[in-house]
Formats: sequence, C-alpha cells, structure tokens
Amino acid sequence: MNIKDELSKISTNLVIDEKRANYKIIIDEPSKLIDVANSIKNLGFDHVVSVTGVDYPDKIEVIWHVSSYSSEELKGIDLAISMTVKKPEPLKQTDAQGNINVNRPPVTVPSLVSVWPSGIFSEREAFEMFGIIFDGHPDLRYLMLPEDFYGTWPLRKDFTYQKPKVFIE
Amino acid sequence: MSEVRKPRDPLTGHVKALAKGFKYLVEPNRMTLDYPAETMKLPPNYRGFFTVDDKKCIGCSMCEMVCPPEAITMVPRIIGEGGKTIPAPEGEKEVKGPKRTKRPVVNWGKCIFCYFCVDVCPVDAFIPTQVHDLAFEKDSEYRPSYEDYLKPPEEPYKNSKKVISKADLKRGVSYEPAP
Amino acid sequence: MSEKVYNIDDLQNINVEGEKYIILQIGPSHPGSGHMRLKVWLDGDIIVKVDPDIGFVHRTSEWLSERREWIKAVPIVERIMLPDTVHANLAYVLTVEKLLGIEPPPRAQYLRSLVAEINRITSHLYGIGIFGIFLGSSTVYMWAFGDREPFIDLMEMLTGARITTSYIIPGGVRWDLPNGFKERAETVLQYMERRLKDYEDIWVKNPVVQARTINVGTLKKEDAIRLGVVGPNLRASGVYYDTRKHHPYAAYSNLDFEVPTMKNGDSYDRLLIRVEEIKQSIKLIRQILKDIPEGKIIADQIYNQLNPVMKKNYEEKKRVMFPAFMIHMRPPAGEASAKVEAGRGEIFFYIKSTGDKYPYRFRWVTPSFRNLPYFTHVTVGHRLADLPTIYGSIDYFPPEADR
Ligand code: SF4
Ligand code: SF4
Repeated sequence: MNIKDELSKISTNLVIDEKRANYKIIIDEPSKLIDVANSIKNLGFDHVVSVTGVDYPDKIEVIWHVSSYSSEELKGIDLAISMTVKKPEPLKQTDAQGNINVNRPPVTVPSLVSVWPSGIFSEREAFEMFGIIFDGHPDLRYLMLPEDFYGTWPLRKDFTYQKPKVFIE
Repeated sequence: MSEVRKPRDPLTGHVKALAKGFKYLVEPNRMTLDYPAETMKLPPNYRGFFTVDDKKCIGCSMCEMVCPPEAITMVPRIIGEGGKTIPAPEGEKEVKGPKRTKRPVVNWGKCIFCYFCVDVCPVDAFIPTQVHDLAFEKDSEYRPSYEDYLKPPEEPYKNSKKVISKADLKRGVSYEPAP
Repeated sequence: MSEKVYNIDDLQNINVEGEKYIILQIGPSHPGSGHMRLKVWLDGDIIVKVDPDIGFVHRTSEWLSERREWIKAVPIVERIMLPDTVHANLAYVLTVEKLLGIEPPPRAQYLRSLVAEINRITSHLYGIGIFGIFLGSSTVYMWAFGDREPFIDLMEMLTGARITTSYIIPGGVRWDLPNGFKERAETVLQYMERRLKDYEDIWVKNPVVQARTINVGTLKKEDAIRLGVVGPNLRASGVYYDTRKHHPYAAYSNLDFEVPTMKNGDSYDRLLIRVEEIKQSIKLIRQILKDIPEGKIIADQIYNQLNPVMKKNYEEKKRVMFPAFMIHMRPPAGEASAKVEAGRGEIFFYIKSTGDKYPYRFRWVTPSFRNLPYFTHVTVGHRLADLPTIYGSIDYFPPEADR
C-alpha cells in the first residue's frame, strides 16, 4: 500500500513532509470532515493522539493528530487532519460600572468522537482551552479548568490574565 | 509468557515469599545514609548553590536572559571607584576609573538549579559548589544582597564525616569515606 | 465479578440520575499517586460509572511555554513529568531539533538513549512501588523506591542532578560520560538483576498478588486500540507498538532490543510487562555502554559558536556550555511533531514556529492523559475494592496527565 497515493485519493489537499514522515490533510469544507475521517479510519488509522487548536488573529485551526496501532505500515506515520474556521467578531459590551467586557464567542466544528472514541478527553481539553465547540461530542464538559473560565479561552492569543477579585471585609 | 503468568500453587508461593522476607529480616538491605552525622561528597558536576566571581564578570546580562524562572536580577554596580584600578582577570585589559556596570544576584527562592546561567556565561564567571542542603529561616534570606551573594555558600554540618556513594553488588548503594 | 453484567460500551448511555446509585467521591486530596478526583457511581459495591475529574494539578505548561524563549521550556516540561524527566526533555528537544534542522552527533545520540533507559528503569520501579502500596504491600513500595536510588545515583553522576536533569539540549547533551561510569553502571545492573529475582518471590509471583490482579481490569486488544491507550499498558493488551521501534529516535535504530507484549491485558499483565521492560532496559544499557562511539557530544553548528573560554572548557572538562544562540534561538517558521516512548507511554509533541523568539503553538500530550479511558471503561462492572488495583496497575500519574 502506498500511503501517499491512498491519502491523495481521499483528499486533494495533502501536505507532505517526507523527511519527518508527517502528513497533513487540510479540510476546506466542514461538511466533508466526517466523511474524510471515516475513509482515513478505514485505511487503518485507528486512534487519535491529540486534538488541539492553533489560534490566529482571525481564525482557528483545529488539528486532529491520528496514528495507527493495528497496521504495520502505518505505525510510523503521523497524520494530521486540519480544519480552519473563522472566528466570529468579538462583541464589546459596557456594563453598569463602565467596564468594557469583550465577549469572544466560541467556534463550532463537527466532533470526531463518533469516528475515533479515543479523542473524547482531548476534544474536551480543546474546548475549554480554545473555545471550540465540538458538535456531536457526547459529553462536552470542562475537563481541567473551573467552569468560571468559560469565555476566556486561555490558549487563545488574546487571553489576558486577570487576577481574581478578592473581597476583604 | 504463559509460564510466567501461571499462578504459583499457593503453598510454594507463600513459603517462598515468607522465606525471602525472613532472609531480608535477618540480613536487611539497608542503604540509609546517616545524615547529618555523615554527609555526601557529591560528584564535581553536581549542581548546587553557586556564587559569582566579581572580577571575572563583565556585566553582560546573558545569565539574566537565559534564566527560566527569572531568578536572576541584575544589580547596578560601580567598579574602579575614584579612579582606582581594579585588577582584571588574566589576559584582559585593566579597568581604570569609575565605570557603571551590572552584576547578577540570584533569588534562591526561585532558582531551580538548572545551571543554564552558569553554562551561558561567556567568561565562565560563576563559581559552582556542591552545597545543596542549605535552609533559610526568613523569606528575605532567599534574596541576598549582592554583597551577601558574593560570599561562598557555607556548608552545613562541616564537621560531619564525608562519604561518597558507591555502587554495591549486595546493597545497591553503599557509602565509603571520601578520599 | 457481579451477577449483573454491565456492558462497558453502555457507559455513556447509562442513566445515573436519581437516588438509585451511591455517589462516592474519591479524592481530590491525593487519593493515589497525585491530586485527582474519581467520581464513582456504585450499585451496592459494583462500579456502574466512573467520571475522572482531573485538573487539580494543571500547571498551564502550554501557556507558559508559549510565552518564553525556546530553551526555557526544557525545565517546564521536565517538572510536569517528574518520574520521567529525561523523556520529556528529550521529546521537546527532538521537536526543536526538527525545526532547526540540527542533527546531534552519534555519541550524543547514544548518551541520550543511555539516560533515557536509566530513567525508564527508575520510572518502572516507581510504578511498581506505587502499585505495591495500592495493594497494601509496603514492602515492595520500600524496595522499589530504594532500588531507584542506585539508578538515580547514576543519573546524578552523569548529569549533575538527581531527577530534574535538564541534560539534553538542542544539538546534543551537556556532559560527557564521567570516568568510572561504566564500571559503576555494570555493578548496578548486576545488582538489579539479582534483585529482580527477589521481587519475583516476594511480589510478582506472590499468590496474594496473583489473586488480586489476575483477570482484574481486563482491556482487550481491540478496545485498547480503539481507546488509544499507550505504553506498557497497551503492550500488556497485546498490541505490538513501541515508539522506539516505530519512530526511531536517539540511538534506538542501531540498538538491538525486544518489545515485550502480553496477551490478556489484565492488571497482572501490566505488572509483568514492567518487569520485562526493566530486563530489556538493562540489556540496552549494557549494549550502549559497549557500543558507544567516540566523538563530539554536540553538533558542529553549536560547537562552532562557542567562544574560546567555552571551547577550552569543552576540551578539558567535557562540558558543553551554551552559546548565545541558546537564548536567541529562532527556529525557522514551520511545524514539527515528535514522539518519544517514555516510561509510562508515548509523549507527543506538536510545535508550530513562526520564526519568532517564542513558540507560536506548543502542544504536548502526556501518556497518563491518554490512559484516562482506563478509568471510564475498564473499572465498570468491578467491585469497588478492585478500583485501587486498576488504578495502581496503569501507573497513572495525575500531575503528568494535567500538564
Ligand atoms: S541555575 Fe537556573 S534557575 Fe538558577 S539562577 Fe541559574 S539559570 Fe536561573
Ligand atoms: S553571564 Fe557571566 S559575565 Fe555576563 S553578567 Fe552573567 S555572570 Fe556576568
């Protein structure tokens, strides 16, 4: 099996780094994601290593790194599935005290837990860190952070750390 | 592997385990260091407290820049006051007249002993020691002044027996008097 | 096992609302090997559902590393994986080297493999010791932690620190083999080989241990693949996968070693596989010390930037100092990923550089995080008393999972 041919059959948007045996499939249509993921799974990529985001000023790239335990030829290959979504404009609100609250809405992408159940915890992590809502995830809750971090999305580049307000009588 | 996995028949298993336990009860495998009556002489590359050679340092701030927890602060320092000549390290020009420069001070509360600063110094100005078991009483002692920082760290339990650790076939680690 | 059979896959669908089940909170104050909470739903004493609540020791390592110079991430990743520092360090440096396009010289590669294998033994002994205390045997806990000591002494002799070695830097390693290291290592290895026989009698083949671990917490091969678990736990379920074989790094492509696998995937197999891997590591350390080539321990690109004082130090003391490049490193724009087989499993790094002073995106996944499905899938249907066995056998380390 020539992995390069097989992958280019699945998607024409294939970026190959021969030296490091890294392959990256770029998805341009969100609706295609699950189909592409299913065909990749049928090739033998059977588990998700990591799900993460990369934050850019106007968009977020969501990357699933998948790999294989069952197929001898694929064991040495790292495949990344990357999908980029536009970030909605942040909403600025002024509250009663005159503070400006910037509300940064989350983005939505399809979840791949139905294809690879091994991504279940990683997707929860990407959700809390980047504000990526995985549509179809069975259990999208906060994993590591406390829930009051909702909306701050700490790993986005525009996150600013605010000391919690302490009230002393 | 199936042979490894096979459950031992309980009688042999228990007897063997008890016999082994009894053996170590009679002849324990002790590798304890009798600290502080004995203290260790550590290998020469061991990363302990360190100080700086005031004469060698050129005030370049490289150590401050590389320090991962930002433990190093550069303090201002005037050398060669009143036009006096400061003896320079070998092979370098002597400094004449007052000159403003900077010197590093380490906050021991933050330092993680990675020795990146020691290794990055272009003139190898830091003086490493193997002293590692200092304790500080007050928070302010973590942050020495430059003058205090220059003093070489004082080893606690100076009069204890110095030992070095040695690999031992029977005990794993044993200690023998340092040469 | 219970009379009532719960299907593992129904975990997501089981309705735990209402008062039918007892909810037991285990943790978060150090229930086992670190701070985490297990929320357990019980039917009598049968576990119906487990929800691992992690994050109590989340140290924002990704956030911190994205706001620091590249070299400063080395101590950060080390402090996340304390029993496995060398592997975390190695994985990060490999990724940076891929971005920089630097290839370390062969001697440095062998030295990297050497400390990695010493570290693997200490990590497995740590795991075995913790498993011992989970099953209530403080003997094996004391033994294993004591027997880490000779190996930690070896690391200290080579790297200058016991645990947080910061030994591997882009381009090579920081110190060469000291005099007398080989003889000392040989003594330690012989000592460990003899001790492994003692472990067998008092712990591994002890009927009590076998009774408590055999057929407890079984994860079948298909499930292990589906859930993407890693490391010795994966191999205990019968999957032949080892990053050292399949993504060779350091000197592993020149070394001859076996990857032990087991068949059953229960807690007992997960114990056995760690013992087998210690044996393999002993073999590897001997091989490395025999085959290690002469030569430089730092790549030429770095060596050429050393100033005369540093070069003199290198020749005399075999100590690599840092050129200014280490501070001002700006790897060219691009992305790289690397995998390293740590004691507990595979570490994965993905770093994106924009050619800037700091990494643009710093992503890493630790083995314990990927072993989380053991709690949600394997414990279900067992009695509560088996939960410590399963937790102990997977060698889970919360600070590492939380990053
Ligand atoms: S040893 Fe490391 S942490 Fe300590 S001052 Fe030097 S660079 Fe900073
Ligand atoms: S790197 Fe060395 S010379 Fe430069 S300021 Fe620090 S101690 Fe002085």
